[in-house]
Amino acid sequence: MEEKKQRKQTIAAITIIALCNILLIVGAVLSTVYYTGDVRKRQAENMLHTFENNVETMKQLSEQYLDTQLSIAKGRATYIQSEKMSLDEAIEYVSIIEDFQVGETHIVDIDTFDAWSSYSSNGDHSIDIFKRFLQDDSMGMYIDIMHRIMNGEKCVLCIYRVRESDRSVVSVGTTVKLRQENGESKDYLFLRAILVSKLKEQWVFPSSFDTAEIGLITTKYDYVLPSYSMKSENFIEFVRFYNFSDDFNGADVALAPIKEQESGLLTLYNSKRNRQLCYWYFSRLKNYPGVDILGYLPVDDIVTDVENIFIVIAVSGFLLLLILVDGAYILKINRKLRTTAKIADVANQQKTRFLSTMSHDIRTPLNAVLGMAELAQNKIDDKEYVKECLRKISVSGNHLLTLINDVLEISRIESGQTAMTLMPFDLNTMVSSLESITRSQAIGHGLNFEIKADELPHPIVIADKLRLTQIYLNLLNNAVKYTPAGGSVFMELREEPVSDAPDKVSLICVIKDTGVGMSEEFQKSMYEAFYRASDSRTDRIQGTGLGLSIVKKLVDLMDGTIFCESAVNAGTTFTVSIPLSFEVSSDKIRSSEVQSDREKENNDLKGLRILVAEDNEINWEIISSLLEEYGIFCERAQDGRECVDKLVAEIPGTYDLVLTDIQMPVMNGLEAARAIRSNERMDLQQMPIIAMTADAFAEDIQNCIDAGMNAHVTKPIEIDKVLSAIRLTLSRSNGLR
Amino acid sequence: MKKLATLVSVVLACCVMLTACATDKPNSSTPSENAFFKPKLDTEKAITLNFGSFFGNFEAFTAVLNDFNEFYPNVKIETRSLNGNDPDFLKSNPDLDIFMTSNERGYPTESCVDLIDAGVDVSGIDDAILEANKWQGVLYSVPMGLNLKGLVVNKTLLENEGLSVPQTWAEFTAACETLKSKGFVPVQGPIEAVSNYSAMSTLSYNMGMSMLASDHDLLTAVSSADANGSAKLKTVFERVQTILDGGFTDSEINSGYPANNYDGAIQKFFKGDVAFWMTNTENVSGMKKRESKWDDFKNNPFLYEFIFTPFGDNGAYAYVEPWYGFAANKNSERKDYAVEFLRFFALQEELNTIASVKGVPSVAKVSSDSRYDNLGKTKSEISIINNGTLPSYFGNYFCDITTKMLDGTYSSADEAFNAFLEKCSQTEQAE
Repeated sequence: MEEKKQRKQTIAAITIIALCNILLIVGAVLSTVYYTGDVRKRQAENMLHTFENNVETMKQLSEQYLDTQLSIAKGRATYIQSEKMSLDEAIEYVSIIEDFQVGETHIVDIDTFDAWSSYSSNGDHSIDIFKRFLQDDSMGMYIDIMHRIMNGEKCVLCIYRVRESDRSVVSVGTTVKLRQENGESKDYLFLRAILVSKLKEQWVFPSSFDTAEIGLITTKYDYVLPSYSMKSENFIEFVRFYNFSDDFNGADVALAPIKEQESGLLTLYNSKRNRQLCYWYFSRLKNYPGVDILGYLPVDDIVTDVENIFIVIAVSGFLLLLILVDGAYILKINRKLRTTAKIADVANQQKTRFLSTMSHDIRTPLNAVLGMAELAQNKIDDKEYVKECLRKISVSGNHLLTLINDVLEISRIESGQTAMTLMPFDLNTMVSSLESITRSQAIGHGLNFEIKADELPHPIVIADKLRLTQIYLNLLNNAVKYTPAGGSVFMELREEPVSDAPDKVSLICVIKDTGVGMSEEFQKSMYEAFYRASDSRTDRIQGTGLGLSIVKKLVDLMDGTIFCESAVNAGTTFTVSIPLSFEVSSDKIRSSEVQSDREKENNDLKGLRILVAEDNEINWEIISSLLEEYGIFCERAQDGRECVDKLVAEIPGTYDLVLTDIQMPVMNGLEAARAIRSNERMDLQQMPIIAMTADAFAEDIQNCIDAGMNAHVTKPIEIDKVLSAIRLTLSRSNGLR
Repeated sequence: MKKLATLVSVVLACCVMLTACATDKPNSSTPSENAFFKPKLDTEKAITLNFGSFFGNFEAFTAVLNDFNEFYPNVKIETRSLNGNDPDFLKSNPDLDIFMTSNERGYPTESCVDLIDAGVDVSGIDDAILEANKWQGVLYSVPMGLNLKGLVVNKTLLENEGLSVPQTWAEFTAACETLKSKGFVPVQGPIEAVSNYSAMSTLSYNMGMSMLASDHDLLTAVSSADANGSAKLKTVFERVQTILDGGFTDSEINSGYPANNYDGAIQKFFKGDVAFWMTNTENVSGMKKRESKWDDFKNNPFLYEFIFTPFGDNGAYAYVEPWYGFAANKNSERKDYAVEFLRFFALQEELNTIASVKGVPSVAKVSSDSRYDNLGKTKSEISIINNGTLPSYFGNYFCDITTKMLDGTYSSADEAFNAFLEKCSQTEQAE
């Protein structure tokens, strides 16, 4: 049920995250669409504005061009009138003066629509286009404009083709009085016919408007000069057909601005196959009020830099990518967390196993201590019996201490706080020491014991003597413990050269026994802490289950290797190989040993005054009694506060050192240390402080150092270690008195 | 990690592909319906052709040009308006590459390219129309549609009055009688003629021309002013007179119709009280877009259709003759592209396009426009296509005289008939 519930919760969480991600993508895409759309819109508006400006510019150019042509016509008409020319004379005059490449001059009898051109290919200047206007009903617009020009209006005569010169023209013009045969004068229409090609030369759009076109229309929607895309008979028919096929009158409404406004922008479809929406910008010519310039530009041809869809896809893609990458990363972290949780779970199980083992392993010797103490009390008068009880109490106590020390050792090694104290020493001395410790045990067990270390070429090595001894001693102790009487224990120590390091040797130690041996199954886990073989042969043997674990960890710390050959009932052989630097000379060893001898006398500590902060009466009694045996005066403070107060109250130099418990009422040892160190008195800031506590783990030691203490010794106290710590601390601060 | 890298690669690839897809514009340049057209010339060449048109509004031509531009995007065609009444338009526009032709008015065949000889595939054109459009056996012009003469019938009005669309002369006169009795003036159209054609001539033209084109003896008799031999033709004039005498039309009302029988006439018809409007399909082509022009029709829309006038005892006279067409100037410097355009235009699909947009019956073998489907379903006395055997002056005189019957120049059918015989025989003798 719980698993189902958890799965449902997980699915719900994933769904919510997925929805959030989708919302995020949608939001980002919409924002991008909006933003790019807005940018495109503004760019398009700017371009459209540019287009309109271009059309306006072309309008001005066109108007100037038309005005120029009209001025030419007026100038010539004035001259003709001033010369009182007849029609023939006027025709001859314009045919001489007119540049055929630029245009033509047309003179029209508005009564008959007879007309003559400055151009002639065969001497006949007459042209028939204006008569054809009369004949064609659809040309009424032309007649109307001609009459308006006659009436003095400034108009542009829409595009027409002059058959005789085979050219298309638009015209502006004025009237001219020509002398008749009877001497009177008559008004004729005097038109300056402008070549369409010349007028269109004025209309050049920038390259950014390749598809733009320009035309001229009247305010009644007739084409004066349509561009290519301006189809149909006139502009309104064009707009009607391509924009209002279902609404005949819609075109009138749509084009009303052309009639009503000076300029404006229309958006209408063109005649292309797929009907493009186009901008149509119109603007009234100032000097020709019935004529508008009309600019044309397909809406889609306003090209903006912002590719909307590209950006949207890119943003979506990269968002998706980001989410996938993040998702993958989160999944990876989750996997790690699961693994870590499993490890933590295993660690928790190990802790439980550790506590259970510790409980058992502590209770067992404790039972002996308490039991023997009770038996001794019961037979207090039997001196021999009491003595035997005290011996057994001492053995059990030592076992307890070994157990705790091993635990601390494991803790230190695993926390990485075990630093090798490298110093030169003589391997032969170490071997002698090992032999003296182990031989008596082995003989006591009825074993044959042999150590072979006679021919070491480099007996002086640089190593952590204590740790190295610990390794060999642990293995020797195991060999002795697990070899039944009559068996043998053999240790060999030899050197082998290290191929790529001539200043080093590989110290090979083989410890071989004929004991109970180990099964293959046990060998797989024998280096794990608290892992002990359990059978009828080994259960009687006392051990912490930490020895091999410590050995393995120390060998690893020394960059060495350990190899085991063992079989049940066939004995065990451990081969330990450790690379060591060696010394040729033994001088350094001697000075160290001399120093060591002087310390052994302990006279250097006599007369010291130590303030001991200890709340526990028994512990106070033990430490004060032990120290007093070495001539050290102790004064007690029952907690940290009292300790600090006493130090502050006394004059400097009253106490040489402070030994303090950690866990005390009122003020603990750490707080007291910090208070002492923060005191303004220099002697207190430098006062040697040693923690003396049952808090023996690595982090406890670090806490003491962090609080300002100089050293740390563990309970139960071993007086030698306490003295060493005192000596070392004093030597590092003020030196011994 | 490897999976993650693969995933990233896939997503990136998708992004790139999507981007590529987004920037790849669809190819819509080739209209599938004309996929079989294979250009013969350089399709990239930029060239401008000059086109002479009788029509000011010629959106139908623009539609074909748009299609042509799918294959030849850089070919422009500048349109120039021609005076339709001037058969010598080419003299004043020698730079035209393509121009419209009118069989009725004539055109300069000597300046036209022999289209079949030039490789124009005419298999999409109705065979009879094709033959009728030839001049002395040579095809100079691709026909663009048919301009048929007849009546536009207000079907809704007839239905409301309990009548159906008449199929025969008897049904037609009966319907007119019924409508007249209910206060309607059933047959309407302009008195004034444009280019010889008045509404009244339009009414009877099909019957008269069909009889002449289908009966060689009759044609001979008419040409020789043989009144007895031509007697059966007099029926046409008698039936016109019947319409007049029967009061089925009204001169005063008809005089209110514009001579071009177009915009103003359509407006009158859309008022909804005209049962039969005498007109032709060219005018019908302007009706659809004008349905939204006036409130009368917008507020009270009705059904209408074009029919051949049911002047025959057994049905209508379905008389067809070629109308306008397109020719290529053989003196053009751009003749190759002009012919290429006509080769494209002669495709059945394009013939249907131009007819459909123009709103007239198509000359294609298979028409895709259903607007004139009913023409093929109506009863017909005779269906005939003038393939050129009937000289155009017969039609001109016929129209002239029937028009004058309407304005009272001729007071009887006999008088009009005899005038027709006289004119035809005089022309025959002159020729």
